Amino acid sequence: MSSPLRAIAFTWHTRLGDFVTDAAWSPSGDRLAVSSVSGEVAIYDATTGKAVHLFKEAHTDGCDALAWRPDGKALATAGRDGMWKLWDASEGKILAEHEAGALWAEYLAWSPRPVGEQGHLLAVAAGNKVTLWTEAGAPSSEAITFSRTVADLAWVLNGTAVAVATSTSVNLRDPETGKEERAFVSRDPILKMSFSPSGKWLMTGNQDCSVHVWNTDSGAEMHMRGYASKVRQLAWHRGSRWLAAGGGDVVSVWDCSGPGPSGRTPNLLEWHQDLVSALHYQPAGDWLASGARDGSVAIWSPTQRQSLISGAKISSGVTRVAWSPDGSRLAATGEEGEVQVLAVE
Amino acid sequence: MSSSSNGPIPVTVITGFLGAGKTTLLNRILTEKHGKRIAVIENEFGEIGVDNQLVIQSDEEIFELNNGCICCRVRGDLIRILAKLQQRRDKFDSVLIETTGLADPGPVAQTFFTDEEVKEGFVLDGIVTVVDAKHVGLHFDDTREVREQIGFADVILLNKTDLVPPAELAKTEARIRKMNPFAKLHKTENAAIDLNKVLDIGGFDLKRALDLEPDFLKAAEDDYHHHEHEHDHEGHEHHDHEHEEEHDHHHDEDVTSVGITTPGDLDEKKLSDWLGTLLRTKGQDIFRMKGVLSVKGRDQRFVFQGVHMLMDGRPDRPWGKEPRHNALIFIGRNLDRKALNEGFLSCLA
Repeated sequence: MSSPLRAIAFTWHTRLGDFVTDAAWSPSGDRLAVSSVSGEVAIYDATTGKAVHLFKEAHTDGCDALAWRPDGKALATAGRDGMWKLWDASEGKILAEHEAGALWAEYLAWSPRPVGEQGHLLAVAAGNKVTLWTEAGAPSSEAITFSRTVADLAWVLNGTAVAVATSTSVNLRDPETGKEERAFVSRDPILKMSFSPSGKWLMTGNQDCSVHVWNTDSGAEMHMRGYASKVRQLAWHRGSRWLAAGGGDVVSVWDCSGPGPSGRTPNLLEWHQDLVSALHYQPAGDWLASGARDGSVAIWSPTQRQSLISGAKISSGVTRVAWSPDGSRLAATGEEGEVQVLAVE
Repeated sequence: MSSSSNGPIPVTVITGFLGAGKTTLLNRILTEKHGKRIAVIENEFGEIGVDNQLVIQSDEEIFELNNGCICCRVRGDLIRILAKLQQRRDKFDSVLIETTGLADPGPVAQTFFTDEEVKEGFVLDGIVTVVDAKHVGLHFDDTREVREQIGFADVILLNKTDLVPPAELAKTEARIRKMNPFAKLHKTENAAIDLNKVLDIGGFDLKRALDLEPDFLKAAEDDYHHHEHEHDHEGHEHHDHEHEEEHDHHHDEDVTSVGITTPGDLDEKKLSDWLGTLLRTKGQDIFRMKGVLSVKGRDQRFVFQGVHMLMDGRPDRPWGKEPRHNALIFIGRNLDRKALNEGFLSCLA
């Protein structure tokens, strides 16, 4: 175990009423949106930490997901009331709200680029349904129904496909027709899915404490077993070479260059003393942030010999770590509602 | 760690064949004024809808933790849903899980003994099986799941008793008793039952299992004596009749119970070898087991309970003035009564 190289600054701190379920920086980095399991949604000024908007009951029974519209002017939220809502980020008004198709609306994702003539589309997953919506919050197409509950959702391949994970497969769907373009079937039940930015690699974290890897070019599948717990955290380096995974108290970082991780030994990042519960790579840099159930937050440069850059602690288990778009600040959120913004000095 | 400072949340599993009255029971539990916050996880065909109560629909996603081992089958959907329920600070007082009519209760129960995260926040309190007194006779023989659900139960509601003549009801009850003598059996109409009899019963709690002991021991002894009776008095007319019935309706695959009671001290090594081998080789067929044992050289009673291959056992209170004895019961299918008795008796010191 090594000691951190650099000090960390606690930039600002605030608190929601309960377990923080999601945290997202606006595309410009001047706002931080945070949601909680008691249904709160807050939008903070990224510099001062002052709440620009605090919606106490944005979603009855909890808000699970947040996603900034790519123009940064609106925020989509989804919750355990079965609704998804679109909020005007400056006025704080609701621009649209719709039922998502099941009691729990759990996942949201905006397409990274416009889809056809329709502009950016928002994908919403609730139960076994995925629905697509326009930037104004109007329905874009028919709901896509899966045979099982959706476990994860993302836009992949430069925004040309919606990837939907259920316990048994990862499905790629055409966002305009809903047609299945490709499916990766998993024997082990999927909890979390992550495509490399290049689109070459698909990783899933599974209930049986394994990670599966598909080479999407060849279709070859590899299994990495022996994790100490279920793997719910997966994070890609922007260069698509390094994949970080949780599972137990250790962060494992796999080299996915060339033929991929099979047969290689991961870098093991050891510093946390409890289950790793959050991971995020800098969007434009090389640092990896990790958080654990004991409240510890670490910043790593995983490929360096001295990999631990900095460490800190918040007062309850970490639920999310999120780098600002420029990588200068890190938001860490907690099981008891903590919202802590950190900066490496 | 998590914000929870209270103990784990008790979970009640409600099983029963289609039309037995599971939905009626659930609706009763949800609408009665008990001040509890209850979360319900119902199957995909569920039809509960009560305002201000959390009712989550789920499909039964069963997977095997270790390839091919039936005892490691768990419910992935429950693991996902329970993880989310656990995030809240104002925790639920209780969780109810309704299974489909054809569900095997094994994977639901095993989820609570094998998944570390689930174990941290939740404890399986009991399996409640609702039985349709009018129609169960038709299903006993042709529906394996009905027998399994009875075999797994801590509480059995013999429901719709108003639709059945007393003699038929008595026959049905006797048949259920034979499959599962340790469950508490309540006769109900419209699933009307005091909630204290279905919630917070400690069905898997070794400490609380002691509360049930008089009944459980009596059941085990009755069973044992019955077994003796079969051998000793085969010519008895009344018994012949019963025996015939057994041949008509019970076959080797039937769910049944084997109770063993005997005085004497057990050899710890022999016992552990025997139980280990038994669970490894026959665990698939053993639904539930419970027991109080007298181990040589130990002042305390040894108590255990288990589901399939998963067993939980530990020393309990000292014997004190109570006569040392052994009482255990197995419920399962294809149980070899003779081999179980002989195997257990061979563990005596």
